[in-house]
Amino acid sequence: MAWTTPTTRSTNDLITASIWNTDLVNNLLALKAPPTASYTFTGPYSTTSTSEVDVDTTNLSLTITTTGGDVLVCWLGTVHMSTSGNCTLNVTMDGANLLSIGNVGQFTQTNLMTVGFTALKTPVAAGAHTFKLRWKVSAGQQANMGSGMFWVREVS
Amino acid sequence: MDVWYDCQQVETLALDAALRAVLGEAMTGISVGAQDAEGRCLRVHYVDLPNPEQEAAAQAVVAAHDPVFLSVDKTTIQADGVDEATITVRAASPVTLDVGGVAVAVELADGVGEVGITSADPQTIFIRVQDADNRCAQVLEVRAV
Repeated sequence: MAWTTPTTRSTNDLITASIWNTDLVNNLLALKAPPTASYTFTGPYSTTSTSEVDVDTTNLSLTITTTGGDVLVCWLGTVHMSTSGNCTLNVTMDGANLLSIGNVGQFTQTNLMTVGFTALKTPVAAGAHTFKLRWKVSAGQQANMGSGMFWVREVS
Repeated sequence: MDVWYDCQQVETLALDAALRAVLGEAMTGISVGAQDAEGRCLRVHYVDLPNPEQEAAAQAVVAAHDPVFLSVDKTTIQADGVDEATITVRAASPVTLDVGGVAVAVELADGVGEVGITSADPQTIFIRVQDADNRCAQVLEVRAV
């Protein structure tokens, strides 16, 4: 159920069933189930790419159709490097970096560890938007990703 | 530019090195884990659209990939000649390990074999696969203390 911006009413306005259902029922339903996409993965994924690439072109590419507002983007996963070096993680929205700083984080540890990030993207125009989890490593390195979850949800 | 290849078992760094040997700067790396619609799970990341010769060379390297996976149950042992670290080897074809400079043939059963390592003297023992090109880039380290 899509969100509809409710109309401000005045005293003595007639509230018909149609108005009630549009402004209240349907909007409450929209708030209960906002545009959301998620993928829970078990991996393992690995890469040696020194250029930024999709972790999983099919499953870790999430599309939601928003009504215009803010989008919460979250990822949590187990990662480790096979050798010393670093891995840069990034999320793109519609092909552009989600964050102006260019990436969402790095990890360097060869021990298995759980890492994650949360970002609030605002404002996001109404329409379909695709979010992708991407990564790259320093030369001669291998990054690995085990289980985790990637999800996006419109929150306002 | 990603190109998908069919390769079910990948020792990532070894295959990466073998591909770089033939493709050079034309590739930026490889990725495994995801699958395309045809069930292929190896992606080679090319800088540009590969030409037929590059694709054929890459396909030959992928076809020849014969991965070996090593693991060790402990990385430190007592230097008493008794305490033992066990190297587990997983491979589809015969493997000879280089254990501190000594060649050790691994007996495989259903693709799995084990090698025990002891040391009477304190030392660091490096374990790698002999003739490791396009097979295994792993180097294990066991410290006898």
